[in-house]
Amino acid sequence: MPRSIKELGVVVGYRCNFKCAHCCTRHNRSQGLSAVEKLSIISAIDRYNPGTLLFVGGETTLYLETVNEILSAARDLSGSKIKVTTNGHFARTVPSAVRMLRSFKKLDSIQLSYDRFHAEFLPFRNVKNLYLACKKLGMKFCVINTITSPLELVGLKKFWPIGKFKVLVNKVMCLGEAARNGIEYAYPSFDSGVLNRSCPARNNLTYVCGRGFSACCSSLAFETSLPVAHASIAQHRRSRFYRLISGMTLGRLMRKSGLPANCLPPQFSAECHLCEHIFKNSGLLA
Amino acid sequence: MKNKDKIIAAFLVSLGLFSTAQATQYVGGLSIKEKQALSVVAQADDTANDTDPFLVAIHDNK
Repeated sequence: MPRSIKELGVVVGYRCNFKCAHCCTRHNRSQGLSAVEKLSIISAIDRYNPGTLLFVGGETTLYLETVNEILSAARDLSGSKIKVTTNGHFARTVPSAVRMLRSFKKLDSIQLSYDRFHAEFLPFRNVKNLYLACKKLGMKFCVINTITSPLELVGLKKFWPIGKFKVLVNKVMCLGEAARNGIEYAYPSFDSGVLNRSCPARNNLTYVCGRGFSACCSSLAFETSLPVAHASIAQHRRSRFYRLISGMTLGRLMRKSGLPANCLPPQFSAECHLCEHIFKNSGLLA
Repeated sequence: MKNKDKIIAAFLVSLGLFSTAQATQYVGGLSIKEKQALSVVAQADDTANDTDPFLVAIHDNK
């Protein structure tokens, strides 16, 4: 019996109607899932019964047909919660938000990406409309707030009059448009504690559109051709990459790579940034 | 370090935004106005229900 999966993320494609400067994908990517990729995802859902199925993009609602295709083809979703990350563009009014949410074959939870970058494209009223639509339909609602500095948390005060919901605080990673624009979460100094930590996503799995299944949901999977993503979950779990990141701390990986561990820059305090440095600049996956 | 500074630093550490040393360094570089603004958010988070927190840290990705 295959090990079950707590959460399976699916990057359905990279198309988006916003052009946020901090986006973790490149704006010029318009790729969506191929027929073969959809079949792989459906087969993984049937085999591993993920507790949560999270669809992300690009803008996920632009791939509504693809999401519904996957949800319709999966054998049994009764044990799976369906979660979608969106930019909320459709929530111009509460009824329009309700219509969009109802058009998903199954949907339990919405994660709205809203921060100072999304605010350039999304009217604030859409946040309230989407929250109210979720409340009306009995769906969970939360906001993902991606920041470059803790001072941006001060802007969260404007959520308070809307209602009570979780705000997931996320740091801008140096990948996609963010890397192109030189936008990244700023650390004041290097935190050597990162060397005692392992990949925080090692127990998660994401299907990265155009790449495959991977525990990595960061730049190694999105922006390199290194063998970090695989056609099936079983293949991924047998891979050298997975064995390395799931069995070692970043400090041990650093030592194994032979890369110098002194004078590391502040941005390597982020696990993903350090991990990218290790795998891109060593022969660990050769 | 003043009490307010400690509260802000602990808040930033609890969200996984900084290590303790980084948070101390960061808060030390903030103006009085910035500290005041951040402490309002920290206090609001502290008064939220423990089982349903207002702010939750997540792993650095999208």
